[in-house]
Order: sequence, then structure tokens, then C-alpha cells
Amino acid sequence: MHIGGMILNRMPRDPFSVEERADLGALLKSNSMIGELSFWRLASCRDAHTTLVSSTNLHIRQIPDIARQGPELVNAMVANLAPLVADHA
Amino acid sequence: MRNIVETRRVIVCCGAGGVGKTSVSAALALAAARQGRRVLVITIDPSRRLADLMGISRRSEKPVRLPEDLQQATGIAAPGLLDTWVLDPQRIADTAVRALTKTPREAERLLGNRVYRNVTQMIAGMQEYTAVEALHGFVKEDRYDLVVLDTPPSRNALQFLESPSRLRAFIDGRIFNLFVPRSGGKIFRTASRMVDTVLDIGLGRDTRRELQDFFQGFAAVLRQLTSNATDMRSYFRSPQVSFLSVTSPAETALREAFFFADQLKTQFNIPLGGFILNRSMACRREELAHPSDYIDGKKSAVLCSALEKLARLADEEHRQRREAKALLAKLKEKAGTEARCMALPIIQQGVTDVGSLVALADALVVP
Repeated sequence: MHIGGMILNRMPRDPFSVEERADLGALLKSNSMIGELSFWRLASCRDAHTTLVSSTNLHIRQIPDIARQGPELVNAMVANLAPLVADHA
Repeated sequence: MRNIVETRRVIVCCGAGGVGKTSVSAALALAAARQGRRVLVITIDPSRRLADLMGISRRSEKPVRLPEDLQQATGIAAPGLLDTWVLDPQRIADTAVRALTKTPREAERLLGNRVYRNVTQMIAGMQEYTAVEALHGFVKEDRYDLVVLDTPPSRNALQFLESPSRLRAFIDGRIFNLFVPRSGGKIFRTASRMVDTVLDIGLGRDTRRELQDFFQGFAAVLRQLTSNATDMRSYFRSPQVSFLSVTSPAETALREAFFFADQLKTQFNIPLGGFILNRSMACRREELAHPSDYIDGKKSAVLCSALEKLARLADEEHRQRREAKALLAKLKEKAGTEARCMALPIIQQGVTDVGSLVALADALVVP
């Protein structure tokens, strides 16, 4: 069966540059602070994305981590996926 | 959770898929083994890393002892021990057939039956059902002080308890009885021969015979298995057993956890042992520093910029922690005075090494 592509859901947006990530990572290794869970989660998501991309030729569409519920969540996801549907129309 | 871990003979972990039941089950089992108990954890679908860590093998016919170095590293000392076993519905069904058929020849005939091999994989609830059968065997054996059962991921965790009823409905159904006629007089026997003739025309004689062999051979086995499951349902109501509802902060998982607790009581008259809220921000320490505390003139511009961005993430974590505490309070209210309720921390990277497994066990039962 033909697979059209992959949708990678809940991919958080990474606001840090490569240099910022390196310097902050070094600081966090010896200083615990609030926010660090989110920082390390970004690293895990990046690694997972790299693994996924390197293991397939399929087109991968990312949906960001949307901190909403109910109809607002649905509308946000629809807005994100609409271009994908338009491309395949 | 200390009282449950130290006194129960069976702990059943239920919950929606993806809430971390397997990791929590493994950590509960470890916590009990560290208390000097002989523990078996039956897992359903361990992640590859957890399986590698604990030496869990899908191919193993018998429970596997935790490697010696891992026992030492996790603080298990004699008489405590920890065995693991992966639930394989097909193997459990085959074992039951061998135990419950009259002769080895009859057993091999049924095991080789094509219908048997396909049906045992297809029967709805087979995985849940064989979990109950496996539990029945280990409880009867008395080889362990505690068995922790990680139930199959189900959209509805009650499928675990409903499976015997569904199997009974299958046995009593019309299709089943078409191939397993009850004894009767001459008219009945004539009617049965007519049914066989019609089935031969529709299915072919060989297929009809194979179907009849299956239903006739498996009927007795299935009735005994269903009887075992009914016994277990009674046993589940005893004080020796605790059902724990594992949930995550996700809305769907919570909804199912509340529904499960209500139905457990009203439909099965089984009290819930407790809620475990996994991956909860409520466990984050209150006194952690804020990133803005680290911004000063001595830090580089790059690092200061990073700390400012981290501060925004920190504010979001603050909000999540407040929501998590409110959620935990809601769960505690639901648990009331009869059931326990606790939150487990987020384990970065999941439970994949000794440290993370011990951290989860420590959170469940403080050493």
C-alpha cells in the first residue's frame, strides 16, 4: 500500500540557536532551575525528529505542540494541515 | 502506596494506552522486591529499552529472573527477588489446551487445527482474557508473594474484566452451537445430520470437519478457562488484590480513569485501590531557581539570551504545575478516603536505565 506521508504531532517549537543551546545546556548540567524540563524535552524531540528523517524518504509534516483544548485545538490543527490537503487536492 | 506494595498478593495496573502502565508496573514490582518480597511482574508490551534493561524476553516460556548485577544495583536482596514475564496470548492458550485436554494426542490435534490457530489470535479480548488466565495460574501456584499485572492497553480498561463474559457469549452463541450440538433424541440427531450435509455443501467436508473438531475440542477447554476467569473475578474482590488506575494528565486518559473507577465499583463491586497520576508536573520542586536569577553582567550575551528564552518556558512550566496540582486535588477528591492517590514525576527520556527505574520506584515507596 502506498503511504502518502507522515504527520509528526506535538513537535515543540525550538526557540534556541545552536550556540544558545550549547551554552545553556552546559549551565543546566550543574544548575537545576525551572524550565529545564522543557529544555531537555526539546533535545529529545530534536533527536527523535532526526532519527525519523534519517529512516524514511516519506514527506513528514510537523504539527506543533498546541496548548489548547476542544474546538480551539481542532481549528488550530485544521489551519496547520489545510496546506497539506490543498497540495493533495 | 507502601501498604499496598507490602501487603497485597496481586496488583493490577489498568489505564488507557500510553500512560506508562508498563513502567509503573515494573517500578511497583521493584519497590516490593526491595522490601524482601518474591515478586513477578507480567508485562504486555514492554518498550525495547525497558525489555533490554530488565532482561525481558518475549520468547521466554517461563518467568525470567532479573539479572544479578541489576538486582544489586536496584537494592534487591534475598529473600526478595524479581521475575518478569511477557504475556503471550497464544502460548497461554496452548498451555491451557495441553492442561485441559484428556490426552496429549487430543491436545496436539487441537493445537494443530488451523481454525484454532487463527481463532485464538482473533477472538476479541483474547489478550485480556489470557492475562486473567495467567494470573489464575500464578496465584494458584503460590510461588510468589506478589504478582503485578500490567494489563493490555485498552481504550476501555474494563475490557480486562469483561473478557470472560464476552467469551461465555461466544461459547453460548448460535455459531458455536451449530458445530457443537448438545446430545438429544432421534429427531435431534437427524436434524444434526442435515445440518452437516448443508455445511458440507457450503464449506466442503474437510473444512466442516476441521471446524467441528475445533469447536468440539475447544468447547471443553473454553468452558474451563471461563470458569477460571469467573473464579478470578471473585478473587479480585478480596483484600489481597488492589486495582490501581494509572493515568496521565491528558484529558482522555483522565476521563477513562474516572469512568473506570465508577464502573469498577458499580458493575463489578470491586473497590479501586488507588490512582497513580504519571508524568505529573505536580512533583516538581517548588524551590527551584528561576532562569532570570542567573542573568547577570558576567554571563555572555549568548547565554543571557538563552536564559531569557528559558524564562518564558519556565513561566509556562509554572502554569503547568498549578494545573497539575489542581488535577491531583481533583483525583484525591475522587479517590476519597478509601483509595490512595499519588503523583509520579516526569522521567526525562523515559524509564530506560537503572537510575530512572529506581527513581520511579523511590517515588512510589520512599526507601
